[in-house]
Amino acid sequence: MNGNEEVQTLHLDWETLYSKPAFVQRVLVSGLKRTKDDIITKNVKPLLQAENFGDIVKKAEAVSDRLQQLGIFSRIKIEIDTCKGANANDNGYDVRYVVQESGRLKMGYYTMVGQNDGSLEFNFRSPNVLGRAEEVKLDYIYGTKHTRGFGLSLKKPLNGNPDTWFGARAYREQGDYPWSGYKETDHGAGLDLSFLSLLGNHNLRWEGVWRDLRCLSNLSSFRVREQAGHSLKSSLIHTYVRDTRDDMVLPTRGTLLKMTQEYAGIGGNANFFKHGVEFQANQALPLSSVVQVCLAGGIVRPLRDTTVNITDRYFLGGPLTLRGFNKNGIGPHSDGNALGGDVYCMGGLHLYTPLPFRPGSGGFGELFRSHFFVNAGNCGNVENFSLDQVNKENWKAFQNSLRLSYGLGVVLRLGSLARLELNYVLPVWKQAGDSASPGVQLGVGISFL
Amino acid sequence: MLMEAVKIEMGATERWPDNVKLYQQYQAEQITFPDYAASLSVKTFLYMCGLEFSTVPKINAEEMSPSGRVPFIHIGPFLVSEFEPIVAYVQTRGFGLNDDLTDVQKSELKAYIKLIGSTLVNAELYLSWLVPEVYEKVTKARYGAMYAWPLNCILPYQKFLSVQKQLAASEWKNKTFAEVCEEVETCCQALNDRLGTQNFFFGKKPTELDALVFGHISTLLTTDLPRNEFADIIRRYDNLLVFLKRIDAEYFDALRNSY
Amino acid sequence: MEDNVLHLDIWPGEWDLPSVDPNCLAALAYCRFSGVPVKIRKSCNPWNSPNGTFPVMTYKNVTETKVGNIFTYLRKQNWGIDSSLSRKECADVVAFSAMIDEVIQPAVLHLLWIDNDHYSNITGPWFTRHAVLPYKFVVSGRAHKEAKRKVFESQGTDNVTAADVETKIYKDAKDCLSNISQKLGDKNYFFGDQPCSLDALVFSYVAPLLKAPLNSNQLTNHLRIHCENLCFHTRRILREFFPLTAEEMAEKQKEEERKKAADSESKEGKIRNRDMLIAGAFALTAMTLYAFSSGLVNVKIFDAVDVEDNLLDA
Repeated sequence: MNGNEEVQTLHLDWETLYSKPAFVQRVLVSGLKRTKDDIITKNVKPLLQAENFGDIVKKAEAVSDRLQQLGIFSRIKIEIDTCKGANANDNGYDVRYVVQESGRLKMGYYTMVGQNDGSLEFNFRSPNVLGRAEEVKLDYIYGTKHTRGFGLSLKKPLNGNPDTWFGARAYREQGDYPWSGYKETDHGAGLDLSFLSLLGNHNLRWEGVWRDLRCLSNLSSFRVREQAGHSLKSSLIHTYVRDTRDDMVLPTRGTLLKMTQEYAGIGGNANFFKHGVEFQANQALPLSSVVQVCLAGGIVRPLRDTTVNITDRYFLGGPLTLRGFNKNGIGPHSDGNALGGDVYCMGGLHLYTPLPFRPGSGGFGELFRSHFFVNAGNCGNVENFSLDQVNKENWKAFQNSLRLSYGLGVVLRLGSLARLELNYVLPVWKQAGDSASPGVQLGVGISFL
Repeated sequence: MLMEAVKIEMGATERWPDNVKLYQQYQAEQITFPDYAASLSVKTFLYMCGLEFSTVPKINAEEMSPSGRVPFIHIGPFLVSEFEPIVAYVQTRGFGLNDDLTDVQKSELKAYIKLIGSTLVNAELYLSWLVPEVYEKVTKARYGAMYAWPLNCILPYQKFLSVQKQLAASEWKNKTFAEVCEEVETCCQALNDRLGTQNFFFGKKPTELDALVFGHISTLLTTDLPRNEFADIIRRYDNLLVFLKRIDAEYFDALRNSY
Repeated sequence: MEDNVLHLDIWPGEWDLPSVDPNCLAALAYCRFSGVPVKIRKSCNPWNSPNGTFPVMTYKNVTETKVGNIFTYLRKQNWGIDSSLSRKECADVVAFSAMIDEVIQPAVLHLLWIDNDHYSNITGPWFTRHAVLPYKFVVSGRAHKEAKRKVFESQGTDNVTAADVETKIYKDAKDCLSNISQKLGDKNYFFGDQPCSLDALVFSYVAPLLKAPLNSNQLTNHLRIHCENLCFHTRRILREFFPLTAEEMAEKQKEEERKKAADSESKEGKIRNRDMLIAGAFALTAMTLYAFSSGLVNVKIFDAVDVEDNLLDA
């Protein structure tokens, strides 16, 4: 299937072959050295259920994808041929995978770019320690704003299934939070269980973290200073993701739904319940334009008779979320430090179009989009707000203090995950204490709404 | 010891506002006695000046403090931590106890304050953190008292390491306990001789030195610990004992009665 | 070596000082003040020192290296110089000594050993030049490290920065010098006409500040402007207790002449060194560029963005 011609030939045969009854008589995998047989056997089983040739091709591809997902092979080649030999059946086929195992130790480094900061991650990875795709990873992050991190993680697919895996991680991280005037050092450990359901992808995680908060300088607000010190969080987190978008940076169709529930209160002195939702829908319009709707919201409530620490609260604002405001510039502030809210919501409406006059169409120009947007959101504290009894006045105040901004700009795709935006924004509704940034705003990052 | 007033910019503020707060750890369960001595010194000083304040117990007082040490006071927009900066700050507000002293006396006052800082404070740290009996039985439990496992083990150990480093830097770590006792003895002897039979160190009126000496000596004398060598040393100096009683009667009896 | 003679080993002097090290100066001054029968050995080989530096005092089987301990030991041997003082004066000596150790010492250590100009141009090179072989390479580095430990670890907590500590120690040291100056007043020595251990201690820190070829710095300036009596005090001690012998005078003169000659030479040497450095750097750059351009060395950079971060970002 390498040259163009061969593809053509295959295509001609396709119609006849497609309906031709066929089955897989043998699956051959060559190139295995350290990998145990059973994990491969489990993954190639679906091939044996193929009933015609088209089916074989499709299933062979699917199996190849799954093997790829295990992350233990650096190359996988599929060869399908009629079965030859003594026991060969007329309709029997051989499917042969020629694989090359990844090295025992892989080293890599990544750069991550965010708003006004960047970091570099080095990691050492051993992808196949015991022969069943057990991964051990050691990583070190070094970044601006005193970001340092060191972690050791283990990951093992359960039952050879790359979608269902168990993970464990221990780490130490530190970083500055200049918008809130504090720095934090974390030591933590976590256990993950990730699995697929009919609804989407689930991740269940237990996390125990010791957080040490300190004021960044003597100018930090006393409201932040009060929260300095040690806290211990032991929480259970459930994350659900369903993503049908065709692209993560500039999608043209599909939806994303992400929900997170965190229950902190199994030991430790950080006790809260946190629930967050993100939703995004994309619809292609004529003239290669796309309309996008984003909604997000979250609420965190203290459990028992405690308060929620600043590090567990919600922050809103920035050039990639609620545009027209500085990073985390919305919501309660004290002496210029963002204190965070216990509830937030935001929505955005975008219209993406190709650049005017379409320069570099079909090539370089596809990295760019112009967009028009309206963002609205709010972040604050809603006291006495509970599910059964909505305190009307607070709720009203919350609604009345909504922020709104609109503008237009250019989006540049950076790789497959990140984007850069250069916008001209006008924040039209703002509140006292907000840190707004009207006019031209530049944003780089991987999380955007 | 570190940090002067956090924001040194005197506005047109009232001389002593009503809501001045002094932050320290919880007295009954949490505070370790070097911190308690520091806190008591500051409180005695403020009583001597006749200034109103309220004590706020906070689990994280140490981490909140701008200098990382307790106590610290919150007065208007200002935060000032530790004894000497607090004294200096209160003076800039127009209250002070050493206005009547000559320049030579003022320099002597400073020297004795540093003597307490370099001898008694280090001796207290040594006793509470480096003497295994005291560390295991008292200090460790108190320092971690307000935290859940495993922080109640990690935090005292972390603090132990940092105190060890601090004492190593000032060459106290490698002293034997007997040598430490000798230092305390030298210090008490000097204080006792300097005090003589006067009411206060510099005559008839108290100064910040009297507050500081009272805070440290009375804490060492009254705290119940597995090792009482320091208290035994102090009991040998009559002038100091009389002095402690006098201050206690003058500033703390009234306080007790008012409750 | 006779056992019943008191020995004091110290670093040799320079800059018109009997020794370059404040601790050696203190021990030396105490011995001179008290008239202890002491044999002073200027040495550049701290092989026999238990802590690898000087001063070291040996008498019979006793070896002391810390200034405080040397004072205490001599005092206990009735070689005291504080015996004529009243109890109250003794108390003052204890208090002022504590203040000097607590406040002046960190500032002087910082100035001599941490301040980059002085460490890399004056104190560091001096010890590297004078110490004997294996110590040549370790003494100054160790002193630098030790100074850093003493200055920052005794003051710092997690909540304060090194810059805060530096500002604070210099401010405190200046206040402290003023206090000492007040205490001295217009007397010859702190307690009358005879020097005591406090004089020795003050001398040991003030003398290097005045005599060592330091750059303009706040401590020396403060001393010269606000504490003139301390400057006189130091000069008086140098004059009365450390007069130069005829030998030393001659040595000094010779030294000065040599220095003049060396000065002109070293300038040429410096230029030569610089030229060689530039030539070397040029050659290295050219070779590296050649290696890259010819493909001998090949650097690949992979860039990606971490997905995990996106999921965890609340």
